[in-house]
Amino acid sequence: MKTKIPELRKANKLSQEELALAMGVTRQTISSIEVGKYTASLPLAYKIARYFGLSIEEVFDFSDFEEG
Amino acid sequence: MEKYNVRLSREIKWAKLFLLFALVFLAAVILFIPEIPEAFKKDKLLFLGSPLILSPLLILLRNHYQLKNPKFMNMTKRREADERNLAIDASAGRTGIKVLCICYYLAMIVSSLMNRTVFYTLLAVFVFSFLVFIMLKFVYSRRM
Repeated sequence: MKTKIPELRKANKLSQEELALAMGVTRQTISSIEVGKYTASLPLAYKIARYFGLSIEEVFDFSDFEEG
Repeated sequence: MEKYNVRLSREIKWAKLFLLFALVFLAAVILFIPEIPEAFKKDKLLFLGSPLILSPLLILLRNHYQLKNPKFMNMTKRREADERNLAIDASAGRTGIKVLCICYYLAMIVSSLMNRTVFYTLLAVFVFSFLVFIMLKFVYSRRM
């Protein structure tokens, strides 16, 4: 799944480790979500979106799910 | 949700109890069961006994270190609760169980050609594990 997390992180001058610490997960999890290897759970997706003051749809790209 | 340091303290108590039990068990086997052959006492019992002693000792050391170092404790807590790590553990566990079943099956075949006691012990463990698996599936299906 594609996400806008890298762009949002850069805009907010956050490192993966800092975002991971704020979300209560490991840096590897944030990295995997960013590259699309791992799909975040609904609570984590919600937490990330809320952290940036956006909705889930604005952070995560659900177009792959809509097609299938 | 239970606090992580409370859980660590509880694990320390259980590890101490388990360590005491392991020491008493090993001492009882060595001292009060005279029919155990000397070779078994010296080699195999040491091999069987060491995980009994080592695992609670490792838990004791790790948890004491975590309680004294809040930074390390927070890092471990984050790692343990991390959803990706939990998903990895679940996937590895699912594959591991399948491999374990195959190994058990092979061990039963080999033991049936050699020793009846070992064969029935393996069979009993296999049946018991299967029953626990069925029971847990029933319990978790009611919870979720």
